[in-house]
Amino acid sequence: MVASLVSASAATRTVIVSGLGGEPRYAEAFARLAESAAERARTTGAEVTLLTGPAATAGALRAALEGLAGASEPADAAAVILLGHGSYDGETYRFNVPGPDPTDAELAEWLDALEAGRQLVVVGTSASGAAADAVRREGRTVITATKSGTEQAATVFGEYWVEALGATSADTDKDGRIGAAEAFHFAVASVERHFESRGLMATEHARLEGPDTRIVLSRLAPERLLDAESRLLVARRTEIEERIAELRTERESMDIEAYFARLQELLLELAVIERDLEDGS
Amino acid sequence: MAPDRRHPSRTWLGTAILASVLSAPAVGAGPDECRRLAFTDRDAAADCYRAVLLDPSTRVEAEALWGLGDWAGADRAFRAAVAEAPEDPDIRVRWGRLLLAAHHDADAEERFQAALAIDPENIEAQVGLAEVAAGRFDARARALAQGVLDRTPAHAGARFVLARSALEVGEVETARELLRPVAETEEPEARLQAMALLAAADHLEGETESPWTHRALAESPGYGAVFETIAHFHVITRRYEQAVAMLERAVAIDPRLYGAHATLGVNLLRVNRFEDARRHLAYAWEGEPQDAEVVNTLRLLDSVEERFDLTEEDRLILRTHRDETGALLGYVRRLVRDGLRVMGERYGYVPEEPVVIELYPHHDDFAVRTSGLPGLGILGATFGDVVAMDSPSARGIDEGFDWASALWHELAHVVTLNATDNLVSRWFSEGVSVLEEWRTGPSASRSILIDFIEAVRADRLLPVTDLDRGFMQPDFPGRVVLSYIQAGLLCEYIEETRGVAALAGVLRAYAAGEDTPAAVLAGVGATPEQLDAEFDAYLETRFEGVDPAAFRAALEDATTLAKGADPAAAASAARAAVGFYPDYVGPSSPYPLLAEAEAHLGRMEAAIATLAGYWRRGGRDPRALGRLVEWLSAADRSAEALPVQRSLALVTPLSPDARRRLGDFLLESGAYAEALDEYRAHLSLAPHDLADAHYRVARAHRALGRVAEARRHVLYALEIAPRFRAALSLLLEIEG
Repeated sequence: MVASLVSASAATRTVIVSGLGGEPRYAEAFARLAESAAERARTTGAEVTLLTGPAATAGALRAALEGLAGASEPADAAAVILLGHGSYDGETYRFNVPGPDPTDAELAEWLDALEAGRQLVVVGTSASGAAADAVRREGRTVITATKSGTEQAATVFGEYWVEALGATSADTDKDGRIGAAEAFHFAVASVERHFESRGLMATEHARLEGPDTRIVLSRLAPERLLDAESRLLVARRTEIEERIAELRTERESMDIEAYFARLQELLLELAVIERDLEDGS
Repeated sequence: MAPDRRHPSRTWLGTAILASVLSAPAVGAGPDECRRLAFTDRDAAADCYRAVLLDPSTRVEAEALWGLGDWAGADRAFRAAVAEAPEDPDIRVRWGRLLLAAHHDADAEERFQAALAIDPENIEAQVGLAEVAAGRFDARARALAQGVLDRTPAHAGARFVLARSALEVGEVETARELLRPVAETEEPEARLQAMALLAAADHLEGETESPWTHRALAESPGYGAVFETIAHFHVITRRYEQAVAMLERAVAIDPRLYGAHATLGVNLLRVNRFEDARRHLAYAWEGEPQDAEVVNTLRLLDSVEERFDLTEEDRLILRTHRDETGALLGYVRRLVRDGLRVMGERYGYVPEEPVVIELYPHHDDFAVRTSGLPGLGILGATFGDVVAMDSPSARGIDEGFDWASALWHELAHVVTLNATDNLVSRWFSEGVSVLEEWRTGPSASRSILIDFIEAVRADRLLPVTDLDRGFMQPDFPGRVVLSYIQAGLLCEYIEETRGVAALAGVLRAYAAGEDTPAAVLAGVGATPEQLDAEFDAYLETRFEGVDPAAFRAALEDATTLAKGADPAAAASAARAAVGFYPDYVGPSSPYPLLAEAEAHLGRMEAAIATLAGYWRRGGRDPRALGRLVEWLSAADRSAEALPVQRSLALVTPLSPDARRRLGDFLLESGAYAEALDEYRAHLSLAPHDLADAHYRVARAHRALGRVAEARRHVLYALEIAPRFRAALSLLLEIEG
């Protein structure tokens, strides 16, 4: 199988929430990040629910997740992205929003209603590592901005996560789309640089757990409408990509020169297809 | 270090003192008698100590265990003895001596201080403190020892501290005067020690077969410590080959001289004989597993073996951490080539042997490599042809560590040390190194710390004949840094007034064995006193108009205002700070503050000009340089951005972004081979976007017409990212 990202199309639904900022400038920054993330998600055709500012209450989040649960089916994909501040008192994680803060247990309960076969939960807040245990489920990718609840300083992970959604250098497989793993690795590298360049000890260490759900979070270029000829080319492209993926699994057992010769053969055909697709667009 | 610190048979304490410290053993002789025996019959001494072990006193037990080489047991016994007699200062002093012997200097100091808290007049505790200070090359050692000597003029230990201190700065006659009476004393330990130091004095004056050596060996044929003592002063004067030869003689006549094995191991590393070093260090560890220096050095060797690459070329042998070799090799190779060529031309000497460069990502490893040497500072160390220093990952440019300039500095030492067979004085070698950093180095900054200018005004500089002491025995914490700058400025002054030939002349005079007054006279044509007077006048002119207080105040204002909302006020304050001291581009320079304020005001041309001026003066703050590159690129001035990006990549060679970006500029400018080097370095740093890194390498190869390499790297890129359009296009281009 080709490990390409699965297009969101109509079956991917995304909930993005920016919580309280403590100070107005933080709240505004979180809201801007959430809006950017929503904008990027819409480039994939996903249905997006965005909650920011006073609207981002626990009740609204619960309702949004209930709506997501009601609409999603096992074949679908669901992404939930929480940005802002979180807290941890040694026992309970809380996502800081206007009004009562939802706890890790409540978030887990609301998320458990989701039936989407592929799920991504990103908790990009301080202390978010404390939420990982509660929200972890089989088949769900969980990303947290910190490794534990004790990393309680304001995080920069969310900022770089959102930057990744529009960065060509985050697209490490160069397919024009940003997936969760790509965004995560870009954000982690950026967070490291952030602290290093300021001569500071890193106060956050992000975690990624669970399978690669291959949910597309962003497209770097708009999807093209294809004519019949192009559709044939795309089908052939998929076929070649599958062959390349198969070939890669045989790399260790093959003569290396033979491997690269075969790889080159396939890639040359792929190159011609890409050129033709480009010319036809 | 000193041979007498390791074993009670080699302590500086006389038996008379010991007798007062220790209670009489119940069975047979006491530890002091055992100690005497050790000079003639090692086995009998061991039997003696074993007999002493039967004594019920824990303090005697401690001495016996120490004598038998059971350091940990002795440490425990001393702890118990102190618990039994907490008000007895002498036990604490002996415990301190044990700790000092094992290089646990801080713990030893604590015990001596504790003894003095009980008895402020305790002579032996004062001598112990003096030895701790001497081990750190701290000028207070002399004062402490002199204090003891004023009260007890015959005290051998105090005389030894003072004599050693004198020998370290070349005051050989002073040392001899202190030592001669001790060499005639009745006490054999002290007598032998004095002979060893007198032999070292002869060696320092070039007399390699000292009569004192023969006399010591005639008295005690197994007294290898005489060679260990001589070796210590060869190390102090950076004559490592000679030190190794002496230490080899020491262990040849006394194989159980574990301290000498340890010192030999450390010095074999300094002459790049790693395998021999490991053998002697392992032997030392077997004998004295508590020796911190040995343990640390063996750990370092393990680390080097497991995690370091060794690159051997005609002119360079490089040891680098595996993760850093790809990024650093090219830069080190170029710096070594250019440095030796430029400095070779200026000073008329190019080392024949390849230069060994070791770059340590962990500062502790570098510290272990350089332990036991005086006033080395913290940037790097040169042992003849071997340079050891922090790698750029150990400390960043933000901490003031410009690794390329530091390497340039060390390369200048390679020239001055080798040109003189290590006879060059400390101040001159450092002065030339600092001057070369300023004059020919990769950053070429002449930025002098404001503290130095204040020191000039406060008349705190040392005369040239005393300047070595500023490095070897600093009298206050900031003295070493001041001495570096003073030495650099002194060499700068000599070059400005007499040309570089005068500096080369001084170097030649040192090579001929002259001391500083004669070398200065020969090279500069002035007496040291004349040179000092001229230099004072030069400094007044050089820093004329620099107002340290006003600079500090304006910089503080600018820093505060930069955080506010009034860029015009911030610009005004930063401009004032620049005006008070335009050459200052070191940490917290006002230039970046001024540039940012100007940018906020929309004056981009002025902002660019400010940062360009900062960069030309040697400013190397990566954020400021990154900003300048960004602004120049935005202004479509890539040609001007390229040299700035070069500087940025050089000061942050382990930054994937800096290397990739420089590669892009170089490729764009047609410097394909250099671009390839940068892209390869970028790739070696395991960048986040690996496919892109391979693609860039492929592009550079393609530009150089290397089709096979280009094809291979584009395939690597596409193997990771098959849909990578630019790489697919390049593949088509390559395959026609």
